[in-house]
Amino acid sequence: MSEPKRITLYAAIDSPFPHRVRLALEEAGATYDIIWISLIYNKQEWYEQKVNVGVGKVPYLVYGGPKLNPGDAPSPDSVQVPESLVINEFLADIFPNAGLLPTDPALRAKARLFAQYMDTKFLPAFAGFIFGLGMPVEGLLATIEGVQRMLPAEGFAVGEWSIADAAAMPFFMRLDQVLELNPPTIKEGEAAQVREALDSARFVRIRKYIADNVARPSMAKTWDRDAIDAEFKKRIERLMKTGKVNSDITVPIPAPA
Amino acid sequence: MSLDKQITFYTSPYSPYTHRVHIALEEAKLQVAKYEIDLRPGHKPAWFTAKVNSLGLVPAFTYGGPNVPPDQPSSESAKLSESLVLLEFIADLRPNAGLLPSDPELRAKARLFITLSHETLHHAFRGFFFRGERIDSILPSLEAFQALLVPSGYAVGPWSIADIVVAPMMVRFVRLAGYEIGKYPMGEGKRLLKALAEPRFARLLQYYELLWQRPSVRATWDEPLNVKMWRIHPNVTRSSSTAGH
Repeated sequence: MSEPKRITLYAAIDSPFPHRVRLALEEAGATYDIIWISLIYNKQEWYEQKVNVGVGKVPYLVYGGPKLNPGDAPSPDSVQVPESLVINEFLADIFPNAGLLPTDPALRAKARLFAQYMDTKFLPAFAGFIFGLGMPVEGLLATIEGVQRMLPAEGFAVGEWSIADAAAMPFFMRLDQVLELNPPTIKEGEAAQVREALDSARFVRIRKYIADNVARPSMAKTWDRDAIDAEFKKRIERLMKTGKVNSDITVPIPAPA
Repeated sequence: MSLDKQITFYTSPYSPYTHRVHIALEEAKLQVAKYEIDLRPGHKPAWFTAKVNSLGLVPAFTYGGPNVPPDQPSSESAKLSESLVLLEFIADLRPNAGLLPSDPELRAKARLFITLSHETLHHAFRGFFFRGERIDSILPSLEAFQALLVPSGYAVGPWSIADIVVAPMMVRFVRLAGYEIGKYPMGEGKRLLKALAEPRFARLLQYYELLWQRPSVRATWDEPLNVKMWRIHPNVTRSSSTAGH
């Protein structure tokens, strides 16, 4: 068997999307380098010029080629993959025995449906609520209930852990964190309402699901609460000054709390 | 080889999303039972939403479980939906049917193409047919879509699910524009075809021709039926008050 190729992941600390990839890499037992990109201040021009050219988003995975330092362009011979869900399917392909996806076709389909639900339904509700884009409390809770309904009676999204769980968990971790931080973008009292609902009997199954994921070494390794808090606070600071949420969403500058 | 589990495919004969699945089934030569769901408001059967897909959308599969009539789905079957997920499912059931390349890099390129086609081709498709935009507002998206294609061959070189995802939209863009079918102002269909014939869209038109020549695409395209149904569907017809604007 040939020498395993080097894996380099470009990531940003508070962003949930690179977190999805780190979870998959850890669960695969892969060796990889991380190059941290700051998305909030001190934008690194070289990243959009030389790495994820013309796009500048994270995550971005480089497979093959020499060791990379910040500022380097990846080797043209390397495989380069953006988009967290595409990267995780790529990892399932290059680590076929790591159990990143089940072998049963119907369970693989369920894993993909779960990940797709996170992107098409949960993510807009989550961003809409935490960034003050007009998502009401019940709208957020209804989508969380939708995720919960897709879970089997026990275990992970498709029984055994899979990249479906990697797609979901970074968001649940950040929801918990944001409710505690209660930024000025969330309407008065609404964080407490969401917290109370999530602690109630209505969401017992998803609490267990989240706890099962948190208990895995992959989460302990990839969730640095303090660093993520610090970065998220900078993001909120920028939003309050400029209205910019992320590279895709800018809103009118919110009124100060 | 194990016995294949039953597949029942809930479909509609003129949806571009079910068309994706029909193409993949044709490519994979996979036998399924097909059942048409009437999507018109007030006609959709309640059992479909209750027992097959809670969103009430096609395409949808039941997979496995006992053999039952399609309108009496069993609780024992797996319920699968979403055209992109179903394409990957068919590729998993028939790994040698050429739906996905075996090389991980090409597979990633195919999946990336699919992701990027949403905000380019799909966006233009919905804008033109469903929101009534003029070609000036959609041609930039079509150009951005064209830029995603490798210089020759299919979307990522060899045929893949990337092509299956976009073929139904490409075919409808070219074939239905000629009939001026869609919400766009009358006359924009002809303008679109004229623009696509320009040198700046040479690669896109070449790609369309390749798709149009693919037997699975042709075999699953019923033009008279699509023309008939799209002409009367409220989502893509011009209201009388804006006709000609």
